[in-house]
Amino acid sequence: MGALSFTSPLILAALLGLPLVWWLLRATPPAPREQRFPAFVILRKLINDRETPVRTPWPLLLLRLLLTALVIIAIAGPILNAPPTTPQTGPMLIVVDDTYAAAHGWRARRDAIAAAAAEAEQVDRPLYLLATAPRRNPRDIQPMTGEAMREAAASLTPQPFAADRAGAVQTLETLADAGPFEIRWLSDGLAGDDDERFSDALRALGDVSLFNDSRAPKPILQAVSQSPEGPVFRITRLDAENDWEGTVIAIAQDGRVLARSDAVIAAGESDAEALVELPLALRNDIARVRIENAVSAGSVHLVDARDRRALVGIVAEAAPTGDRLLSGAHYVREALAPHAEIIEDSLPALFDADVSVIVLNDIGAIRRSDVEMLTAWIEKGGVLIRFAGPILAETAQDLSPPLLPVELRGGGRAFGGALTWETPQHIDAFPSDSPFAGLAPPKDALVRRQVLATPGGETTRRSWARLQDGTPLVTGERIGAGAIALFHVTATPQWSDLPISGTFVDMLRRLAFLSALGPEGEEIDADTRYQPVRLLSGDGRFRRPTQEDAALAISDMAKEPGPDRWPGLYGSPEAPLAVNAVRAETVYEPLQVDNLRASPYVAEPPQRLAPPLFAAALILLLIDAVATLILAGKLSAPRFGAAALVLALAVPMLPATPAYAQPLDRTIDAQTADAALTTRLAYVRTGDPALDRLSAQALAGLSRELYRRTALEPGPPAAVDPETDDLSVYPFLYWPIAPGAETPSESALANIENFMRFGGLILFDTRDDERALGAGATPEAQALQRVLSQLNIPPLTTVGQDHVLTRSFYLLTDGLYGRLRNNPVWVAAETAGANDGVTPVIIGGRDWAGAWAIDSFGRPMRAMPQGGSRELAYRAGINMVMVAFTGNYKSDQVHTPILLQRLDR
Amino acid sequence: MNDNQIATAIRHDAEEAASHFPPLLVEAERIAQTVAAGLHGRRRAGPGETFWQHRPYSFGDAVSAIDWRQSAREASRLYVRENEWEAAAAVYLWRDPSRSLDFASMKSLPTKRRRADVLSIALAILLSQAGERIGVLGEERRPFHGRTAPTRLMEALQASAQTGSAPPHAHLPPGARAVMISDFYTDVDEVEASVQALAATGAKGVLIQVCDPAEEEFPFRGRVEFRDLESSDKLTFGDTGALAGQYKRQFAAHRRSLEALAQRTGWTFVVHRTDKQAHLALLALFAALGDMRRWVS
Repeated sequence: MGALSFTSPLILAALLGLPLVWWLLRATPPAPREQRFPAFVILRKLINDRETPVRTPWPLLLLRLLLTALVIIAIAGPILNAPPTTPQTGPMLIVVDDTYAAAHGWRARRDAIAAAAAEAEQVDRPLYLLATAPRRNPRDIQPMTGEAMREAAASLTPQPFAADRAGAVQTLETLADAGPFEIRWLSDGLAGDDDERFSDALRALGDVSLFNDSRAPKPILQAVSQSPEGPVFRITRLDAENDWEGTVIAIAQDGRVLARSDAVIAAGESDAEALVELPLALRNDIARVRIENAVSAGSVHLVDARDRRALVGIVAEAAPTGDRLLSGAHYVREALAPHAEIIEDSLPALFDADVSVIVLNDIGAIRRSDVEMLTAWIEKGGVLIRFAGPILAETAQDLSPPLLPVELRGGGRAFGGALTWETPQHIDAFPSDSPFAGLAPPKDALVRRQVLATPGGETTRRSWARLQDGTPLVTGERIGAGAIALFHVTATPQWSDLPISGTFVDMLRRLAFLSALGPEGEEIDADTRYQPVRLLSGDGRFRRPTQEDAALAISDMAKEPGPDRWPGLYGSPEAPLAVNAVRAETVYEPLQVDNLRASPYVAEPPQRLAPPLFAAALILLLIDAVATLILAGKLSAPRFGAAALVLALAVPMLPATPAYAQPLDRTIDAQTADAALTTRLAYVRTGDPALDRLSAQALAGLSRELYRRTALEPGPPAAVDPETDDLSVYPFLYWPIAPGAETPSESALANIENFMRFGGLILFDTRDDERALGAGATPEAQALQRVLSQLNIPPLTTVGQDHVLTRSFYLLTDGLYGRLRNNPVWVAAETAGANDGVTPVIIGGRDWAGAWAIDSFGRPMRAMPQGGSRELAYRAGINMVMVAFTGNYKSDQVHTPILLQRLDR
Repeated sequence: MNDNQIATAIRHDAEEAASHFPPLLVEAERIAQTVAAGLHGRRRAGPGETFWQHRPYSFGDAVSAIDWRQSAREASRLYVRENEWEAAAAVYLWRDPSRSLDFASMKSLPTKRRRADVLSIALAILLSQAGERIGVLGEERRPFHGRTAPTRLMEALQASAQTGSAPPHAHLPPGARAVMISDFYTDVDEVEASVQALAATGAKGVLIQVCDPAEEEFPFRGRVEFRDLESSDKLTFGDTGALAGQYKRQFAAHRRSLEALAQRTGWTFVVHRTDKQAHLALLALFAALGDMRRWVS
């Protein structure tokens, strides 16, 4: 509800006259009832001693007063939400924040500009437009006409940047001489760095009205972190008053939706986190994440290739010996494959590939240069996972190998052998400070052999997993940003059951997550400039890069996006580098400007109240008239009451066809049921009565001949409308094309396509054979083209000599006769495949209906032209119907001689 | 409008009016049946239309009166054909032609005119069955008699050029009877002038006042504007309910003066209300006209 105002409030003063009306109405008696009366002689003798006028009953009096008041108020012209009148005449400046935050309600801004343009145009005020998003090459701000303003507004689109208010202040300074302005600031509602300065600069130029859609949530999406379950995003919104519910969807490069995650921001909160839960195997497929139904570059997060999952390198063993089940690398690969990329290569090659995890399987001696490289890599964040084995145990006996978390004792320890009295050990619960904390130790996994560490505090501290006797199973040590972990058993099940337990998978996964080395760690060439692949527009859609869009270096990508650092994807399409419109550190807060009153964009439209008031007055007038008539005896109250009652009862009954939702299974109407019980031919109703009658007569004639000559005994033909009727019960549809026929609706087309797909046969007849000789298409042919262009029609070919249509019942050596036969008849090419290659359409202009049509006495309706044969036309019709019913059965028979010949051979 | 069109319009109106005749006749006949039983003819020779007897020719008989066919049967005698004597008495009817009769206070009631017409025709039927003649008071035409008399009377009433609610001053042949059917909503003096003129010639008669119940009971209340049916006069009363008593007194006085008039002249005054059955009025009328045979002398 907005404010109520009157166009001519002075008229309301007439309300003061109401008491006068009251007095007048009271003084005037109601009209007497009229009565015809013959005994006037006697009446004349009566002495009328009591001429006391009956006073108007008070309800009627009140009614009339109300009526008068209503009319007075209505004449005064009350308007709800009347637009404020603009007394200004000077130039008007429209400031638009064309930023990503404004993309949410861009239409409102465009409408506001158009409205302002229309308003200013009326009095020829010059218009200025200032868009605050940063521009690549900002132009000077020039006065415009309303028309130019509308064009400028139409070409203005939201940019995927935040507003550059500091730059806008500079532009405003150039306008200082042109003012004072009426300024409309169509803000994006987003706080920036120089808001106060900007609003001060605006106020210096004239009266500012600020438009702000502060009630729109305008959510943005920021990547927060990677959790073991998937990436976590933060949704921040501007309006914190209401609950916000939304969905974050992760989309693959090919547009598949990989995952959805519902997010709710409670009232009062400004942000919430949403976890996009996704198996690691799919995580690398995420190309972008967006808030569903949000149209802004800020609600889209482009995933950088550098965010992708860990790359695990396994140092290749010398040569796989025999069975791969004996190779430890196999177990590691199987365990980690769903969660990580795995490369198996030499150590230097692994470093080149920027792996984040390196697995050393039973390697004792490492070259010094490799040790140095590995140490540096671990300190940067790499995780080295080592497995023990005979070789390591052997090496540890002689010298202490490098890159181990603990000092090893030489040799190994075996349980359960013939010469030991210790039994194989179970795995103990994982210590709470180990990376494996929280995992359930496998109950059935036994450790039969292990390498032992030199006991001591260090070993105890570094034990990430122990056996139940306290000896370490996995020891680990964090070095720098990375870690070394040593499994004291082999990666094969030879020493223990651990590699074939599910816990092994989890343990390796946890270890891989320890790596701080994402692909972002890769310091690729800082100087390489990456070409843009796809760039974001302000409304969150992709656009193709143009020549103006600059290639970016890695260092540029970390900076605030701008026209020269356009948000989007750069580099190779497979592993693109992303620049997001909203960075993780972007602050997203509502605009707070003092001294300016903000009004919403979408004002309620002005609503004239006079018409309903006049209508109410009219109704009161009617009531008054009826009441007066009843009082004057012109209308008997009971009769009127009965009529009014009937009317009141009848009126609600008028819309007597309630709209029910269509049930999923449509009820079968009588015509369809009939057609399903008795096979019959059908024609498509064209709406031309003569043509429809001819079609009916033609199919009646054809049905009669079918009945006479074949085993098919069709019922009387049916007229169908593909818009409404169920076509599935008809095998054969005759469709005469009338010139200028309407293209069927979408539902009709779907109906027809279904009909053809499931084995129906449509005979399209343009009946223009004799006229379709020239190059130009006849009106019928044009109409047919309009129909067919909407349909999924297989490739067409002419009916050849040995087409099944020419031999399905009669052997027609001369093709399919109609009433005419000049032009070829088209059918689906046999290679089309569906329905065993039976054509779903026969298209021709031979006016078959004209040849088949008979009247109710069996007499032909249309003359055959010179050289035409009705008999052959019937034969052609019978062949067509036979094809509709028997498909390519006869076509198979065509090959019988060849088959027989083959069998003989 | 040329003559042709006027003629067409008149004929149309006449046909429309005549379309009411058959039901009127039927209704009148039905009512007449209930009264007619027990009437009989003159049973003597005299001027008439039906055969009564043959008698021998005697001197003085007109030659034209000889029934030649009968006389031819016998060699030496001449016979004169005598018809049955038919009533010399005639009843002259006046039915108020004024518009004040076109009134019925309720849909279920007939208008006073219809009731008056029914009574007139029923009377005509009875009289014609009795062989009497019936004429229209104040018309120059001869009275009607015979089976067609009701129809013709009806036509004559329809075609009558009389207006006004007072009965005409007419001269009747001696021994004739007069019947006046009206609501008599007119000055009693006018009625009296007419009745006295008739009574002066020795004619006896009956006054039938046909009233609507509303006219007697005045069931109105509130502010009512009354409109006269005959003139465009209007009378408005603020409180009609309070006037009912006064009205009834005036109405009764009017009726009493009519009764007094009837008494003075030896006529009979009959009151009939349209909500009563028509044959009651017809019986009263017939009784008032008295025994028909008495008229013969």
